[in-house]
Amino acid sequence: MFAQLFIGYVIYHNVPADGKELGNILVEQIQNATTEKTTSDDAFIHKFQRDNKCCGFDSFLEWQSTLGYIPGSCCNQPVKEPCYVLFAIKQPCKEILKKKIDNGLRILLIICIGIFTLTYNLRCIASTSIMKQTEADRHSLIIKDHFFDQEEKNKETFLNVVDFFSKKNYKTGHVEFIYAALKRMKEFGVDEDLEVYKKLIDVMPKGKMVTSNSLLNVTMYYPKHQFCIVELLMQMEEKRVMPDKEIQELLIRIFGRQATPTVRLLRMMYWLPKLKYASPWPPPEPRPKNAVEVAKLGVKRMCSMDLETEINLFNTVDDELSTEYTWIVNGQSPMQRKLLEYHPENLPIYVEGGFKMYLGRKDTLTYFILRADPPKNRRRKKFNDPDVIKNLKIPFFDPPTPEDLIPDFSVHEQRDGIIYAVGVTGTSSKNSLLSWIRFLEKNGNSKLKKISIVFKDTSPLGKVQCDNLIISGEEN
Amino acid sequence: MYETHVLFLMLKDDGYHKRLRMIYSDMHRGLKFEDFDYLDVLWHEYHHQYQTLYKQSKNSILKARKEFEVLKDEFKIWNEEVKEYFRMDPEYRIIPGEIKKVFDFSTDEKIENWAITSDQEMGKGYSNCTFTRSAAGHALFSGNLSTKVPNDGKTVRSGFCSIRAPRPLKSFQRKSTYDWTQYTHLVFKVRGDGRSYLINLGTEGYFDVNWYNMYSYGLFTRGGPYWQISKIPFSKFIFGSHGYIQDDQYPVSQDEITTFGITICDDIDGEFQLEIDYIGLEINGRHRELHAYEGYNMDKFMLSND
Repeated sequence: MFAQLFIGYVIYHNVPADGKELGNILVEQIQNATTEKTTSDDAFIHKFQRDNKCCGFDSFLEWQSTLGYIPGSCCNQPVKEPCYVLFAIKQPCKEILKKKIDNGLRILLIICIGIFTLTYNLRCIASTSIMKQTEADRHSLIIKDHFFDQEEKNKETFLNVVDFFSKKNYKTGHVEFIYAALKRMKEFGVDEDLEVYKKLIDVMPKGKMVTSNSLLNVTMYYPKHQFCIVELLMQMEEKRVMPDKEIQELLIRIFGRQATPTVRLLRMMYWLPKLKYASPWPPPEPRPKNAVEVAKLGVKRMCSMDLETEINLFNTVDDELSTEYTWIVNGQSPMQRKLLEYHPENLPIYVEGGFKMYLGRKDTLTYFILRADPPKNRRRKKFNDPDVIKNLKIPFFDPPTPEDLIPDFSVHEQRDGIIYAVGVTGTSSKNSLLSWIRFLEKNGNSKLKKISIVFKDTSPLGKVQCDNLIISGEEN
Repeated sequence: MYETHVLFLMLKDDGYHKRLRMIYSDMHRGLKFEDFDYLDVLWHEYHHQYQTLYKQSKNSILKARKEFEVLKDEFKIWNEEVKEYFRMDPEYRIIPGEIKKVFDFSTDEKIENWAITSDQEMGKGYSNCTFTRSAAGHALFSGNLSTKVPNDGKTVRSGFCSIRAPRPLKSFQRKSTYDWTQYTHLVFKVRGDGRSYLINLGTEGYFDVNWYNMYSYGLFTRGGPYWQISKIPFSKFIFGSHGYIQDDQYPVSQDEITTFGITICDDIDGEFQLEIDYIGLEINGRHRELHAYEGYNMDKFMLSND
């Protein structure tokens, strides 16, 4: 460590002593020049004299004594040799030479000291600072995490933290702060809040990182900051938070019009609204508050094939034979009731379930169906293309055949069974399903009393969850 | 699952030919090598039946014979192709409203030919899926999607499962494409669970920059016991490469479709099931839209490909 300092010291103090020797070398060279009569411009002394506007080592008279005349390089004016004394430069080269050597050596000394301090500091960092860190700190990459160690975790405290940071006007640390905030947002329950994302983007310094030309855009001006905001936008996209014009203006103020985060935002503004409304069954907005609402919306969506479907909510308090206290959501249309009336009494009806259904990103429900096997001798009506003129029939000349009188299959008569009702219960237990059927009997399905009903663990319609699954969401 | 194998000729140090069997998956990423101890001449995609035959017989002449049996089948297909060419009888009368079934799952082979991939198979997640026959006799794409990220230090997001139809082939295992130029809509008869799926039409070009070109659109399911018929126009498909939506959008070139696949990657943990009756094509004369997305010019240096 001290080796560099030592070397620097030795060089600095010894070489000026050698400076005299250098002077002697110069005198020698002058003498050589005289003996060999090399007065050409290429010689070292002449170049040096011309560049630094000096003459001789001690005085210009040296040339007079050795050479007999003053060379052209000593001349003040562009005159060929020999130079007149009147025009000769009077300043000796001795001091200039010394100054030059000193300057060079000083730079060397500074470099030596620089290397010394750098290595010393690095060793200090390596030895002392890591010792102070705990085991957990050493592995964590996020530094600004401690801002979010709040006791109360809600939107207000989160915004207070962000405000506190942005009012301090720190020169660095914005990137680390935003990464930490993105990670801790879910704890505060603000990960789907547009306002909070706006506040976080607002933390970034304005104006400093704006790109002034297109070359800076291509080469990523302030890349860490840009990546950070891109990461934030990606999180917004994942959480289905729709950006707005205000964010665009903020990003233009921070990064400029053509920077990567701004362009990414433009892409989001183009695609997200298009894709949000692509689904014919969009997730309910706002999110349903309790399980009954989830069940109602779910049944409504499942039975949207038949627009006449009525959705009823029953409570097991009204059922005298019920042993538990829950709710039942039922979906049935008049067409299904009519079909049930025509159901032969010797064939059973199955209660199958529970099947899983997803309503939006967070809500699922388990539903049950009332199904019967399709009748074997039932024929499907022959399809007559109405566009083909050959098939046109005039009722006067062509009386309807028995085949024409067969009613077409309704939506509920599928190849894998006739569906009579769809139901969701609060507990998905066998007892609640029994009371569902009792409610159906009371509400216009009196035929059910005469038909045997079988509870099944399997179904041709899909995977069945046998255990008593409770619908996700809060019970009321 | 039914596995299709690719045979590679490898030269060992001792001068003997040794073959490696590759079980190749959907994305050509989950590659597994297994030693294979026989000699053969052709370099083709094979059926596992052939391989069991080879393993049984030790006589090299017999093996060579079996190779030529493959050629026999290929010549048969080629013969038909030539006949088809000279017959010059293309599909010219397509009735609007009539559905042409491209994928119906009437036989077990038609289901088993499909390739299945998931992030677990690629070593980047914990999802799993199957493509089997359902209890009602249709094809069933089901499994469990998990968005849990493995602790490998690289993966940031995970959670996808996908199935892909086998690539159409001509005789001698030459690669071919689907030609759906006559039609305007893709038709799906499915029964889902309320989740949304992604339909991928791959148009793999000759050059490597085009290998991962994909046109995608969502298949949204209602959920519940009823079947649904979804008709998706080709004009709605979004152009992407390597899974990223591109700034410059183009309509699907319907005669260059090489792969057809269905993916689930909706970022929801849990079980999924999609029952498929058929996947078909339909023409609707009223559908005049060529491309649903705008093609206006942006300012210079705004988009990635300026």
